[in-house]
Amino acid sequence: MARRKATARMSKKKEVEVEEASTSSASVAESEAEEESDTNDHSEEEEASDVQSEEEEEGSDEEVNSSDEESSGEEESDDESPENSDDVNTDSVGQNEQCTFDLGNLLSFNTHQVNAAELYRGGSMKNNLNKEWYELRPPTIEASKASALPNPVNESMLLAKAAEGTTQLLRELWKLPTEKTDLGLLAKLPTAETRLPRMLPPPPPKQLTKWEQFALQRGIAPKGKQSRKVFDEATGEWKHLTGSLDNKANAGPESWPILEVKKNDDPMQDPWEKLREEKKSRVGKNTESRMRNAERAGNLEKGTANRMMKNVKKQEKQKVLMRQKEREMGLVAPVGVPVDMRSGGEKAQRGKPSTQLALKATQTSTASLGRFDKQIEGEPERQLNKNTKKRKLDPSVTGNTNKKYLQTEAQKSQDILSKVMNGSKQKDKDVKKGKYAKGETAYDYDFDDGLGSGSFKKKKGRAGAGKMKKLTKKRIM
Amino acid sequence: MAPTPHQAKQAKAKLISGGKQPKARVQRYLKTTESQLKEGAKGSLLLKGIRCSDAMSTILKDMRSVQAPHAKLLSKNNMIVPFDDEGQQSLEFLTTKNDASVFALASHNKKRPNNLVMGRTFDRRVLDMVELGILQYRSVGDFPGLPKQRVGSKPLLQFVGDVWSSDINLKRLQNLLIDFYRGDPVDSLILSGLDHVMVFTAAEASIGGVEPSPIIHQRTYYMKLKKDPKGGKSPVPYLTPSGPDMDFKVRRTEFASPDLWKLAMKQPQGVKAKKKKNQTTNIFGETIGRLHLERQDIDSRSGKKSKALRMADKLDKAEAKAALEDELGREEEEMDNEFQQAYGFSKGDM
Repeated sequence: MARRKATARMSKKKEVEVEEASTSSASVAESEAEEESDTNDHSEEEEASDVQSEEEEEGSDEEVNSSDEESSGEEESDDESPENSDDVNTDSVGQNEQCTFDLGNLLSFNTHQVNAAELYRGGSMKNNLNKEWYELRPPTIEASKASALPNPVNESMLLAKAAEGTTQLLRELWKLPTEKTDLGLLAKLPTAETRLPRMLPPPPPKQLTKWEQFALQRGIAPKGKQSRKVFDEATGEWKHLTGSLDNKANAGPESWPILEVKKNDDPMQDPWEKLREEKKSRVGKNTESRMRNAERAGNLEKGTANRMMKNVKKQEKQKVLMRQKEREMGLVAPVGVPVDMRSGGEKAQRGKPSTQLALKATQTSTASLGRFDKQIEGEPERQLNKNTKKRKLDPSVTGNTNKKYLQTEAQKSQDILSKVMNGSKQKDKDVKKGKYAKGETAYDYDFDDGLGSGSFKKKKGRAGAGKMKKLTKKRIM
Repeated sequence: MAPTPHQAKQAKAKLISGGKQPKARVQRYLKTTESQLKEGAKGSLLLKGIRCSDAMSTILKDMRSVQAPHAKLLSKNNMIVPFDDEGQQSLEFLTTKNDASVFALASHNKKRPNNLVMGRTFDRRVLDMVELGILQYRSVGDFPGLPKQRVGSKPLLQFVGDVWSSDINLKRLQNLLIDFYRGDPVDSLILSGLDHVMVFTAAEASIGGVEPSPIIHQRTYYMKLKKDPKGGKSPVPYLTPSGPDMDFKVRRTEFASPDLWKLAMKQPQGVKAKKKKNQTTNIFGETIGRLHLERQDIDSRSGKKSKALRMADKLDKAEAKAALEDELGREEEEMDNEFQQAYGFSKGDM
């Protein structure tokens, strides 16, 4: 009651504001005000000092008036139990500010106004906390006068508010359903109320492949899990389903050394080649259908499957043509069936040249293209393909944007340009030798006298050096 | 090293068109970089800007220790102006590559002293950014001898002040701070493991300015749970200051447009808990369920045929074929007869 009188002494404006504040603020605050008005009767002494502070701070009217009661309440309880604050600092603050919670995120919201005046009150002796903990070392970033921070901050007030909020939150947390585990009491948290944005958009629903659609329509159940290893009848071991022909379970006719010729088979065809080609076509079909499924699902750009198929067909055609050409020209040994048994035996060669070709083919059909294979004593030197160096591909092809590589590329083109513009040593040498001579004339290399370059004769000595050409400065590109 | 969206697309295309699959470990990692139904903790990237003072560096180091193991601190200075398009592109790239979705960029210059830009990304693009000017800072090292939190423990967060809900900027900032400091989103928690509290107090400090700019005080306290002397079930916390304490105010903001925000907040349908509609419990305590089947198209269904049926099919077909051939034979005979009648001699004699 004394509190209300004190405020009435002030201007009418403030009175109105008090009423406004009390009605506008949350209902909880109002109930608090009622609570505190009772406790106010106990300690009227402090109110005098509070009134003084009120009169000082006229800037923030609303705050002062409405949160005044709260702060006074806190102060009073501070004095009431000073000893307990050493041990448990929640006792210093009464349970006057109710918080709202989001237990799923371990959050608590104290939506009551903060008394800025109280917070930035300087030089208060009640702030024992400041000395004890906050003055152990100077802060990493000091609050300068230029900054907007009013110094010093009332740490004890902040701590008190924190403690209160935490106690309330813990109380709520301990109310949750729990179960005992060997690590302790496990509480089941409810779903979080505060919604936070996601990192990535949610995954799109999976599109069914063509087969899956068909299976769904016809009611065909999926295959089910396959076991990792299968018993291989031939070797009597447990092997994986996939792998090389040696390590595969139930490898099949590709690995058998002898194959029967069945009714509908052509006896002249290589059955293993036939099997390999069949497998290739199956693999190609599989990749194509996978690409089409991916296109339908949107994982792949539309049209890539068609492009891939076109490319594959093109390449195959080219390969076939090249092979035919080589065989016709006699560069490659005849493949497969012996020469005399073939129908088109006219173009096929027999005898030494054919054998030599066949030998060359076999010698280079190793992993290292015949470079490191041992040679028998007395064997003539092998005629290997000399162009077995690794090609340096254009970075635009490989997609390699290695800076070092780009620099060398740029350097290369610069070198070429400088050579064209300024002339290189090699070219000078060649000119002297007579490569660029258009006629017979000894020292004028550019002059074409119609006699032909073949009859060019390089002169010795000073005459061979040619006309003294104007020395031009090499331009720095 | 998460792949950028372009790289991911290329890799996928290569795989589908018959490329070699990466190792199992790599595949597992790549799966975590793709979008998931339920997301885990947000990785954070801590960067230095164009020029960074020692004090700002300690701020980043403290942030990393608080957010460990989800935080990554880069040591080099980056020429990034965050409120620029180019800068945002760099940030997007760096956050993608470091598996981070939340970032903090520290810098210091005369115009903006002790600057900290905090932000987050959505779908590998910048979503929100807030520039904070730090007025006072007490690092973990400024509280020697006092107990500190354990690495990786979840904090109790607290927001004090009414300004958090009244000011639009602070509303979003609150959301961002929760995102930053929340840690792992969990369903259940061992309560005795809670050991620290982070309190953000916002106060309006109107000092001569026309518009009061709120100052936010971040305080971190180490919490020791003590038994309630009054004899309640829940413990009572004993708070001691520890860890980073920061007083800052908001300088510039660049929040997401409402469309992008809506997109980012969209949750997938699978996450919502669905009520089981087809289960009922009767008075005897028995749970009864109802199965709702779709309309079954029996005609187009194919079942597995037994051997007898297959043989029967074969025989039928053979019969039909024979019948057809008979017909053709008869037709031929008829034609033959006609021919003979017409021309006097049979076709076969020709």
